Amino acid sequence: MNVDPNPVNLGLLVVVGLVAACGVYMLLERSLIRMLLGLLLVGNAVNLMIIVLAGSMGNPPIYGRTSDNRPADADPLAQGMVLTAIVITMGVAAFVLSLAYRSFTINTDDDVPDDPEDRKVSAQSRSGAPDRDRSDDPLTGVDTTAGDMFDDDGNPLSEEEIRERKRSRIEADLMPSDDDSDTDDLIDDESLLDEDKR
Amino acid sequence: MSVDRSWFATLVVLPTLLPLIGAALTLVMGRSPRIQRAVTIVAITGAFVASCLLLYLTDRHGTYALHVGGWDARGTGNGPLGITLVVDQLSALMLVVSTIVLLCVVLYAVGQGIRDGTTEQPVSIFLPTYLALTAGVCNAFLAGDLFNLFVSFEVLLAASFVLLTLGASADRVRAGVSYVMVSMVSSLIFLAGIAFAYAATGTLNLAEMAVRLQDVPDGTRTALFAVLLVAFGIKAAVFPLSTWLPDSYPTAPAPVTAVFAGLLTKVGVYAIIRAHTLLFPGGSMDTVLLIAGLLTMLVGILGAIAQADIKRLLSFTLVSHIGYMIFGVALSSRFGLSGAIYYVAHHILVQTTLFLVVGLIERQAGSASLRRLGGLAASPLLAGLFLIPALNLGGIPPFSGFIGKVALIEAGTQDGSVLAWVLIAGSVVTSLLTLYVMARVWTKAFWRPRADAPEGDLADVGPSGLVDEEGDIAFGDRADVGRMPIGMVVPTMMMVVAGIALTIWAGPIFDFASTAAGDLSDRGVYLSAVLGGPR
Repeated sequence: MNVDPNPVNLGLLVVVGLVAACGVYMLLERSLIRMLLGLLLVGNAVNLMIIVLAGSMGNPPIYGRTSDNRPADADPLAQGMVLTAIVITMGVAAFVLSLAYRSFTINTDDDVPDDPEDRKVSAQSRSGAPDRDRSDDPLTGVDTTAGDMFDDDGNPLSEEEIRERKRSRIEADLMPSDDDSDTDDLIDDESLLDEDKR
Repeated sequence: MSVDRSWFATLVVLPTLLPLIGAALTLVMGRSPRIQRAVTIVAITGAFVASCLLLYLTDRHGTYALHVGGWDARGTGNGPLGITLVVDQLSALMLVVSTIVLLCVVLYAVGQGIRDGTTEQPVSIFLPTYLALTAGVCNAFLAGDLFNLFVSFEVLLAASFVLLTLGASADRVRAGVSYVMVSMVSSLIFLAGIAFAYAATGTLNLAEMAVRLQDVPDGTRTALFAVLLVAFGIKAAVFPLSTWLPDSYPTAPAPVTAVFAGLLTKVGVYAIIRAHTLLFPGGSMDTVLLIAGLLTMLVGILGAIAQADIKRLLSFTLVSHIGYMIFGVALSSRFGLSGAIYYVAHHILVQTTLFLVVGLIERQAGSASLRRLGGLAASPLLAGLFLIPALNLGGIPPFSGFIGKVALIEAGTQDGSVLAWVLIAGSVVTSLLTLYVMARVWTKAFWRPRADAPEGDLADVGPSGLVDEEGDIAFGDRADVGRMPIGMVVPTMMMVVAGIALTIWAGPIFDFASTAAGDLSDRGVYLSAVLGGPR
């Protein structure tokens, strides 16, 4: 049986898994500081994994230097990657700490609340829908003629102006047989106007 | 003196280097806003010009690789040892579109700062951070090795953290926390993916890794791809990894949201395209990607329908339309890929434009909520600026959104599988629903009288600059109501014009995307550019 000259260290891999699991558990917390600790744990787990996966121990990767008479050099690239990752994580950790402090000064705790807009949407009734008009029928939400009671600049029209508009529109229709219904419309409009005032 | 191949070496580094130098200078010049602005605009314009020249050069001479510091190790049998920057047609196109967007948005932000700027606005940090973001985005498009890609992601993420939490109001801190956490988790998954890929192949250089991955067993290769896809999927906001986006983007200042929406997710899409074509050809994950693309489209647009805030609504359409690009990539055909590339360019422009217009709406009407807005059609300029990109996003002919969608649908029919047809149906439905959402914004915010809006009598306290001002006042009591500042309108118009240009020159640009897709499908071009010699 051939023995692999560069066996992967199972113990370290288990440690990587455990640290990452702890980190994920803490990331799922609501408290910002715990989330940060979780982030750091996962980060360290990944860094450790890079070291483990990059091969076994070796000499320092500097020309002419040896250590314990090991046969090969350690992989410098993996160390470079880990150093870069550590620096990045440290910068982000500093930033998250400042966010946590800011959150503490605003809310006196560092719990991360739900998104208020999400809550609004999930609690939304028909009357809170984004396509709702003020003039919509309060029960069914359908359009009503009250929506026409504003001029082009958005100012409410007076009763006189509404009658005037109504009349001109009907005259444009040139439908003499609509005489009856046209008075009905006016009455409807007036009752709606009254409702608005109330 | 003509532009020839020898210019490549200089030009390749400029889109990253100029913004970085600019960032350092603006940081030092924090006390003199005029110099800051001038330096920023010069740096980004320089990056834009360099990108345009790169586009021309790649069109003429093909892919070019720069081994920074000369560590190419040619002829030694080892691969490149140092950082490699690679520019091919896809990179060049992405660079040009991105720098156009970055330039317009910074002009817009400067215009807004000049108009609304007070001593409390932290503009002294805005421009340096923005330039760092620019450097990160440009470097991501040029990165020729996996770790350099990771570092450029981190550069742009670190900058985006600062931009998203400018002023650190309660809302922005809340949004910032979830954004920072999700982004960092995605970065750590990416880093783990790098570790696995390095363990499997012993290299980080994309070209060399692509060669060595051929000898890696299929299962391992698919697993590596899956890890990287999760990392890039979070960045690109692909369902089910997309929920962070609509929560965090809308609270940022308008120019910041605009540039994030346009660029950051597309960097993720770009990384997916690279990994899919260069590292893992053969489409081992295509079914997963197709289903993810379909769900991204549908869930995104259904989310948009429920939103009253236009910024949130647009964030959901942003998520939704990422699905189209994933669709094009996952078809694994040259035509699908060229459709996806064209769609990326279209979507960067149109989504940024819409967010800039929303910034104008907020400025003009003191709100971005459909429950408060009304009567905006009184300003034909604003209405026109909104309508063109809105129809474009909704896929109305003759705009570029229509062309991109038709290309993707045609690529789907060429594929012909059942799943592809389902995706085609899904993309048509999504397109119609997008149009519905845009039409609703139009009828409510532009056509309805403001008095008919349910909360039309309320407005935000002040014009939203870089710092968030909280609270509501009666609409009539607003102090600073007035014309839209010219410094904000002109950059928005430039973006609209850029979107129309993508329509007018759709033929040449699509041809370009098609050759870019051809070069991507044939990996030999990329490999020989980086590693030297035919392989």
